[in-house]
Amino acid sequence: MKNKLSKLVLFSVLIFCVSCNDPETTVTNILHTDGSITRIIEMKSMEGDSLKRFRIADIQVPIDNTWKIKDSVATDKKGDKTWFRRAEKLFKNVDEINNAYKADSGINKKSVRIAGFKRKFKWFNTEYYFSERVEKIFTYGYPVHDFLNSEELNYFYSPESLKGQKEAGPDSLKYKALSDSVKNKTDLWTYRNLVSEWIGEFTKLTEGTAGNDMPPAYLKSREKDITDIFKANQKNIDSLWANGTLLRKFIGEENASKYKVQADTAVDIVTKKFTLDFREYSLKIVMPGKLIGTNGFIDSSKVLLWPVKSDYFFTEPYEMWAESKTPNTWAWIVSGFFLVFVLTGVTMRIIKKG
Amino acid sequence: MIDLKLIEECRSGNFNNFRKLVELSSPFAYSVAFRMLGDEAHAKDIVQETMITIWQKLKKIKTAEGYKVWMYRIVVNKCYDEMRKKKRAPEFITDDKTWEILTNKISEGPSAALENGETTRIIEILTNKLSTKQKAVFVLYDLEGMSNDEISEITGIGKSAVKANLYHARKSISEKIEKYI
Amino acid sequence: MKPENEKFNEVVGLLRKSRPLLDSPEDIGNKVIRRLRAEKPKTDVLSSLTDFLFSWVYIGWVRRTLIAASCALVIVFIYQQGVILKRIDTLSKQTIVNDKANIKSPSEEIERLLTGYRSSGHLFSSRNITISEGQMKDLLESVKDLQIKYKDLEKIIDEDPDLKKMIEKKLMGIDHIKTNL
Repeated sequence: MKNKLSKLVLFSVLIFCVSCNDPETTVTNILHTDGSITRIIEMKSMEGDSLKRFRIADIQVPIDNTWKIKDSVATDKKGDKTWFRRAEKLFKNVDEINNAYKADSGINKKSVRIAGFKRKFKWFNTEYYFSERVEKIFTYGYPVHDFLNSEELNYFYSPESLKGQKEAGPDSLKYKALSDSVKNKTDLWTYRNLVSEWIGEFTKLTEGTAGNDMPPAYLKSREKDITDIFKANQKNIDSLWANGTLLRKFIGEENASKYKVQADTAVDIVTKKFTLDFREYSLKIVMPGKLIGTNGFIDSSKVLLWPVKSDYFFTEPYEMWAESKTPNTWAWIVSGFFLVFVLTGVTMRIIKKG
Repeated sequence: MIDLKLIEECRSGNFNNFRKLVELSSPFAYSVAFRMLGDEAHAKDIVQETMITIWQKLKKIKTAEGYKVWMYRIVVNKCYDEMRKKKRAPEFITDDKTWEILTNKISEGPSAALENGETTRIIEILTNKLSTKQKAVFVLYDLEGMSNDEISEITGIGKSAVKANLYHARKSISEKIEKYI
Repeated sequence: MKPENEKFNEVVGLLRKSRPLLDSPEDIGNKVIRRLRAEKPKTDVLSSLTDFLFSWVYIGWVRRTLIAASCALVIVFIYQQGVILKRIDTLSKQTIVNDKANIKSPSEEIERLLTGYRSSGHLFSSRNITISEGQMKDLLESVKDLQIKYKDLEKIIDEDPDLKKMIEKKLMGIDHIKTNL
């Protein structure tokens, strides 16, 4: 019974999270040289109920009736249907995108997202810089690069398709081991962040009242111990917290009774932040001209790709950027003429003098 | 020497004023050309060509000082062209008579003067082994009495190069004078 | 015996005094004017255009400034292109993804939520979810599949006491969060 219940819970969470990801969304930003952006949203849904399918409240990015929308459906051999929606809109500049993000009523409305665009004229070339940035959730968290090495970081930020490729490829053992290593370390990272955030919030709530009981540095110095206590009591954490056992272990008997309210409040704040509603999606960028820099993944059609997941902006802002350049043909021509002109003059002078 | 007002009047295309300019400028141009080339006819041709070039490019002159330097520059450049056209001079044969004339003139004292032909021969024997630039610098500095700055502008070579050329010219001439006088 | 310098100065002084005289400056003037009058106006457009375009070459500071500007332009160009090429080269080493491959693997989002569930004991506020019949069938089939595999695994471990001991030892040693299945 216990086994079945646990399995069901596990798979409920899985299903929940599978439908968490419905619709499966890819946002493509096509940047133009004048700073305008054509934004295309492609959504895929298995939701049978047409009223619930592509509901604005469930969509990961802002969309409304000003978009050009096109729907289609495909049926597979088993008779299962998949619905597709393609929406397109031209934004005059990034400010319009940022205004849309601010007015977002979708599932990810609580996340702070900012788009940025810069154009630099450098005589021979014009350089374009575009970015989308998601602000971090936790205030007192640790950056993930404190826990992962460069190879692990690369794996951590990779899109699922790439991970799947690597784990099914010739070096599958290596990548599976890497995957396990990343999982273990990110688990530890998560625990440390939860504890660090709780300590930060708790310190903030007790500042002024705690006095000499718990100087901020004291709790911070005990962070590792608290993390170990937390990890060691996973199985019955709820009950241990409720009866004050864990809190006494963290901050001592006396302080535990004095600051129970603040401790609970801090837990609520951290839980609220941690369980932020965020539905992941993919972001693509198409830059004008020739690409010269990016922190994204380049797909076969030279389009840049980023997965957007809450893990990525858990403790640090997540910035997805790309840079490209286009040649200023007229500048090349003018410079060429100028150089030829000067060279001709100097050569004529040398000839005359000679 | 030349008034800027006269130049302005010539710019308007007035031949009479230009004739006046030619008459004022040509003795100076002739002096340099003659001392450089050592030939009357060639020197006169150079002066004519110089005046024609000046007429064609009068618009370039902004100041009276500018005119002077510019005129000399044209004369010197035309002398260079002429000197290049001349066949390479045969190896110098000591001209005792010329040295004798020079010695006599020196002993006559301050009142002595040379005729054109004598000047030609003396300059020829003294500067026979000089390069065109050395000769030009010597003529302009020691004979025409111009400054380093003016010579630099006229010949288009730097001031230190002017000094160097002058030094070598004087050294060569001094050696000859020492040997033959 | 006179000192060297003195001889040189005397010779040069003599030459300087004996300025070549132009006997007929008016003659030269007439010849020049005659030639100018006879000359047809030059219609060499190319020549005048060239003079117009390239007269700056003779003005020292303009020439030097333009040469410096040209050199600066070339340097800037080489630098810019060098930087861009380097960046493109770095970019070419960046990972290429085949995002069209439809690989299904558990999303890390799920992993994070599981961790959250395990660590906080809190689940999200309840929501209504619906799944299709096909999804339900898939789910039940995978559960059945897992159950069979788990039983097989249990059987293998029970049949091999050494293996059982090793696994028990490992499980005790690892500081892992396990979901009891």
